[in-house]
Amino acid sequence: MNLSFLPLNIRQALSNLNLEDVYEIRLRKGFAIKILYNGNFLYLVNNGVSKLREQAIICDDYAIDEIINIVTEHSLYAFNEQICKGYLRADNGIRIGLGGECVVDNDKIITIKNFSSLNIRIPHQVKGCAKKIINSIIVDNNVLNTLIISPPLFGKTTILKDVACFLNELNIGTIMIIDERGEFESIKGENIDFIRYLDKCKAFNLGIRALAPRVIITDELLGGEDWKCIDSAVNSGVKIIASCHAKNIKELKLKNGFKDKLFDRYVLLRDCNFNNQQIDVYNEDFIKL
Amino acid sequence: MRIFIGILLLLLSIYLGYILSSKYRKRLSFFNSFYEFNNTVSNEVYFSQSTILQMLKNQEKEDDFIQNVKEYLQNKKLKFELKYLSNDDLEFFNNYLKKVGGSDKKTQEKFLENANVQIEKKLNAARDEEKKYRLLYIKLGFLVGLIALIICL
Repeated sequence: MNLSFLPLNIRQALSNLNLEDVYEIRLRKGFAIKILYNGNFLYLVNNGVSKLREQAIICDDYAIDEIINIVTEHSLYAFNEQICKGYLRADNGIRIGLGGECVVDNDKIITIKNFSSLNIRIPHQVKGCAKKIINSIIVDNNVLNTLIISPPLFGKTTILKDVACFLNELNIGTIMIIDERGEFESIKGENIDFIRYLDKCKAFNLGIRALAPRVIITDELLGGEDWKCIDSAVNSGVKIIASCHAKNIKELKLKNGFKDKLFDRYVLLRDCNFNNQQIDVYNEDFIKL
Repeated sequence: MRIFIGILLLLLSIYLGYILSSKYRKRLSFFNSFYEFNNTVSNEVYFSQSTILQMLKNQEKEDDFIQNVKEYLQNKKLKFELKYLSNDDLEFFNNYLKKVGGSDKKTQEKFLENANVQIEKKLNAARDEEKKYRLLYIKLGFLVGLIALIICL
């Protein structure tokens, strides 16, 4: 994992940890650096992690700007599209969420300036983490429209990646991954096509026409437009496997644009422990299977 | 023998005059590179949007200006002192490095446009100074050499 964009003191502290267990690094100007390590938020200290704030490494005034300068190669103008969406992509699918002052013109974000916090998300690939759900979403060699639901940080993207690998190995036809933020960069396969860095709705239109996929995998359905895209894709005979932020089925039903019977399966992740993850699978009528 | 030493002193003092005017040549060369660099960055911002680091990698020349830009972007300090620049020039160069690439496309376009006008002014001034002082120092060198030659004779 290439973390060379981080300041030296942070890299040195991280070198004492197993990076496989690091999921997030959170930097806030003037505050202690926290990391999500093995499912717990801990303070980053010189020799690793600690529960004690006193020993924590403090994010100084320059660390955030330094990271942004290195990731953007001192050229924010070349990354403004990403910045306007609130994140930057670093190597290996690492995503850096940005906090700062938005510059808005006519309700449109022109840029973000004076960055005050960063959320560095380290992508993971946990082989076999989708094993538990694969039999529920593929029935008689047919892929069912599936929505994976959970609050943030429960591993939806990691499961989607593993589902993509399973489908690739099953050789069930072309799989198209809509990868808006470059989070699926580690996934490769002879049956997998990518549409990257494009808005979801445009990617659906482009991909269905150009690549004729049998299954589309996409992450983080948000507003009404996203649900409309799914609806039209399902109606065109393509199977969809997607994910969405929601704590439970009740919250999902309240989402703007959500439509009943859109999906055949709803997979609810109840924790983020991949070793023994609690997963509930519901059918199209929201009956637990 | 005296004539030979006298001529040697004459040539040496002309050469010294030339050396003493090198500060102005270096300054001119610096602002020439600065002007070119600013134009290249402008083009990148307007059109291909490649990063400044990529642009620097593609640069073939490695003069004082480019070396200092590279060093500043990496370590936030200049690689070596630029003695031939005035304090005002250095402040302008430092401010430029702090701001170049550090904002969105629109802001960069305005910044680079504005910088272009100022760099051009400095370049023209450097060109005039170089022309003026190069000749002046060479002439002075010649005069000193001539005096030395006369004394030798």
